Amino acid sequence: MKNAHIALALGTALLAQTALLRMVTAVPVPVDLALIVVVYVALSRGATTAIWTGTAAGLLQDVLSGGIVGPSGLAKCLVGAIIGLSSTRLVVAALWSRFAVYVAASLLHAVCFFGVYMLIDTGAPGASMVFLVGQAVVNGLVFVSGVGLVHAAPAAWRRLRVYWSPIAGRNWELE
Amino acid sequence: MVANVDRRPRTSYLLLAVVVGHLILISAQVQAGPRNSVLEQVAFGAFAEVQHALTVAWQGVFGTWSEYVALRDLHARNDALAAEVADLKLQLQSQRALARRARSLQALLDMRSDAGLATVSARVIASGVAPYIRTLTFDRGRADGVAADAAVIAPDGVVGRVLGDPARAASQVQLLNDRNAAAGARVERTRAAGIVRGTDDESVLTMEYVSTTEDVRVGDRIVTSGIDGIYPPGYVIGDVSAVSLGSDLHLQISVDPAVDFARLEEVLVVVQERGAPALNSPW
Repeated sequence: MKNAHIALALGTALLAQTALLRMVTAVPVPVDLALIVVVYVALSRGATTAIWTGTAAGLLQDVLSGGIVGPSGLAKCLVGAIIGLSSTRLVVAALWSRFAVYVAASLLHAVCFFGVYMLIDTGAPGASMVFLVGQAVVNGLVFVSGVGLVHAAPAAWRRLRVYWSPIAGRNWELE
Repeated sequence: MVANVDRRPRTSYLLLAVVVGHLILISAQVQAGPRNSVLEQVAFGAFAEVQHALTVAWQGVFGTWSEYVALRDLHARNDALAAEVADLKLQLQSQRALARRARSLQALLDMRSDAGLATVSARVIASGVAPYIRTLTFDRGRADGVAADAAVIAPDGVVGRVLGDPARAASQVQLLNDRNAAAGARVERTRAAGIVRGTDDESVLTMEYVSTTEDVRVGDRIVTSGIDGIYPPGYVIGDVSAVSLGSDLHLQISVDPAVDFARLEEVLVVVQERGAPALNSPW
């Protein structure tokens, strides 16, 4: 995953979360797609890239949400660093382990985010415990299915190209 | 292996530097108060343009589908809409009669006539980018006369206020159910005043600072009082869903918001015209 791919994924995640999800779903979906990108980067590229990705994603969210700039950047950078540093000790090949890592990352993000607001003692945004747990589970499900799609896409693309190839399905006889 | 050993301290230093940088950034804003910097305005404006383009494109695709492909139950919908229009026309006539009566009463009491609110209609183009902060982005901005703190209302009731300086063609609105949002409010029946705020639960508002001596019942309508200088008085906020005695001398009142914030599409943004009376003037 190149840096340009990460930037593209972040931009797409933010646009999809703000502009598309609202139009395609009847009820609001408690998902943080930018965090999904950060955790994916942490697991695939390690802590250093995850720190930069988390910082960029969080600061962008802070700037665009009109509040104090920093809490989301700090929370996502910490999550990226912790998941990235522990990724060398984690085996996340199985679906359930990816799901568990993401749920943990999501809850960790909430703790960091609200922790910062508690420290600075200004009006903290609101979220109930049910919302946070629901968001963690939804994030985990989206992450697992998203990663599944990302991993399955190249093979599917190859099969599609073979299927549509002009020489596909013909019997060739070598003379 | 050697590379890993070399990289770990570098990552730690980077993490430390980034965390310290964030803390300095946050503490600077806490001391000086959050500002709507040029960078934020430019970033928001640029992002809103992309969101707007995406929304228009999506609605174009979806509109093509609904207009040309999914026409199966159009006739039934047409009949239903015709019936609804007839019903609304009746209601409109009734409202006009009421308005005429109200105007004549107002003239009798020698009160000044209500100048009416100058508004622009706006459409939702995106939801909030941070999951814990309840905001929406609308397709009207500075170019349409929208200013910071402008009230946003929908046919059902009060939506929220414009957050910070808007971009040229877009503005961000803090919804009334956001944890940090508040509005001056009154119980319509008894005129008891208080402040309505957002809660952790996005489907419930709370009304604070209403004395325990006041008569507030479940089902009472809560309207804006205009005391905050943002929301015009008399607009519906919601209905009381629960009342109990609070821990101090105030009632604990839960309010069911009149607006379904998740399904908002079109709203009106109040534009203060030059020379117009202040929004919080009593009437």
